[in-house]
Amino acid sequence: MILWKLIKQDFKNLITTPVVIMACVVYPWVLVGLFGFIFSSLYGGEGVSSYDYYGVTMMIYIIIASITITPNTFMEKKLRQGNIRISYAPVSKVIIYMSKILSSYLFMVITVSINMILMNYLRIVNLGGNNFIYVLGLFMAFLLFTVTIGGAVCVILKTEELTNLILSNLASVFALVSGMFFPVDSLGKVASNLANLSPAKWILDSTFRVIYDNNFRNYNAIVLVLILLSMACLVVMHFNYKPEDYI
Amino acid sequence: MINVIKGILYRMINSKTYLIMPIVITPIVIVAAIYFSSSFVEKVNVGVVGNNNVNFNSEEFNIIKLENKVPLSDLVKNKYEAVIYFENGKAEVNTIKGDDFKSKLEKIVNGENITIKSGEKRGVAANIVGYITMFVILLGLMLYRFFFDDKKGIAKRIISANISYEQYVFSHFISVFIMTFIPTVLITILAKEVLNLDTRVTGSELTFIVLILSLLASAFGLLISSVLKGEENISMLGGMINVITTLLAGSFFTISNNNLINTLGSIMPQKHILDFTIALENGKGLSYIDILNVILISFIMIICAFLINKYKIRKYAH
Repeated sequence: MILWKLIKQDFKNLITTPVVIMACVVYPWVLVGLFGFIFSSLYGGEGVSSYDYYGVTMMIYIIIASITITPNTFMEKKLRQGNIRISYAPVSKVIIYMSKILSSYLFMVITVSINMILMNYLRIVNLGGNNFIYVLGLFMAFLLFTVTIGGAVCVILKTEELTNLILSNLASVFALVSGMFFPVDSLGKVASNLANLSPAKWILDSTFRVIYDNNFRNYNAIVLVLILLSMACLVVMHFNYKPEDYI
Repeated sequence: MINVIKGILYRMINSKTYLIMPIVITPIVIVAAIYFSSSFVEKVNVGVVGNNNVNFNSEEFNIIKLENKVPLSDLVKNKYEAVIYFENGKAEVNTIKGDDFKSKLEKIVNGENITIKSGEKRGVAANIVGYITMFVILLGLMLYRFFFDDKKGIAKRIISANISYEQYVFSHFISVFIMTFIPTVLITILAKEVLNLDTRVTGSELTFIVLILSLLASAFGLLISSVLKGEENISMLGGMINVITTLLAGSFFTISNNNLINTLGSIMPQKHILDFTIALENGKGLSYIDILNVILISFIMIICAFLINKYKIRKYAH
């Protein structure tokens, strides 16, 4: 019951932050539209348009970038007062951090799925047709991982500035290396091999395999590993989270 | 005013988190630029199914022999730009790229001699300048955060001393400019000299380009920081504008042959800086009007920022 109340409050805080709304509602469309438009003349054969490529990569990029959402719920200056009050209240610490994780996850799941369903429904982006639900499932598992790892890192580092700086830079580097902005496989052997070390690239490849070849190789393994890693992040959070650190 | 600048610079150097940007990211970007300027990246990966003795009269191909047709997802991932297979002795081209590319490839397969990539070739220096543009502008944005800290109270104390608000804003601008320019130029020049890059752009020319780039970055940062409230808004919206304009300007790669996009791109000041560098490197078509445009745009941004700040202060006073 307390958990539900806290989740509601955290959720409300998230949807009343203009930046977060901007990043999750407006940004995906701007990115997909812009990249699709810019590269539209480079694609087109075999029924694959630039929107099909960038629709998938940009949604993954949004998910990677959402790594900074959870730290926001922990350490936003606006929320700090409220957080202190909660930590003084007779509430177990598990409930405090779980509410933040769950509300961030819930928020991201809702916005990402709405965006993806709209893109799929309006046929702007080919997100798999009959396999759409599997693509969505993979993205949700990845989202769980980014949300929990964001929480774990912010619990370890404890300062807002440092966490935001490290996480947002890390997210950009991963997105860049994994070929979210341009196809990395066409950039020579070294770049391609480097990219194949990045987990985001595995997810991207798996998504394309599901969408275009109906091929589910590694799909289950990736989802399972993502969920296990999320659990590991939760464990890290459980042992490192001390409410009094954020006063 | 000089004392204020000293104070701000001192605070910038002491907050080590921001230093990650020039010291870690810029070298990585420069290494990437050098890698992408090397010759083999320019080649197009083409898969050939079956027929073992195909030879194309094109230097631009990196031919990969295949047993079977590849799944569509490999094409979408751009593992192969195209796959050529033979049916009844006739060559078929399979690609997800546009018709333009496909027809060129078909011609090459049939023995004609044409080039695929068009446009001016970019050298190492142009690639370095193109790639660091985005990060320099980002750095310019990030450094204004002391400007926001100040709005919480320090500003009042400083302005109640004998310094005008304009001077105060200007000293922030100067400090950000110094802090973007000096580390970036040091690392760029160091990379150029140590790695002995093969380029016609001299050290002083590179310094000049980075100077203009830093001017643009700090002017843009000042404008965004004056228009918006709050640090998160700035890093979010400023970052978005930065990414979009830099991409449209074609800083990372020539994007398209679409007219509308090219027109949009040529509005962006980043494009003019890049054009200037390419002209320097190729030794032809050099025009200082490009650079003048960028300086002009930067000054317009600074003036707008001052006007906005003035308006805000007036509103605040009443």
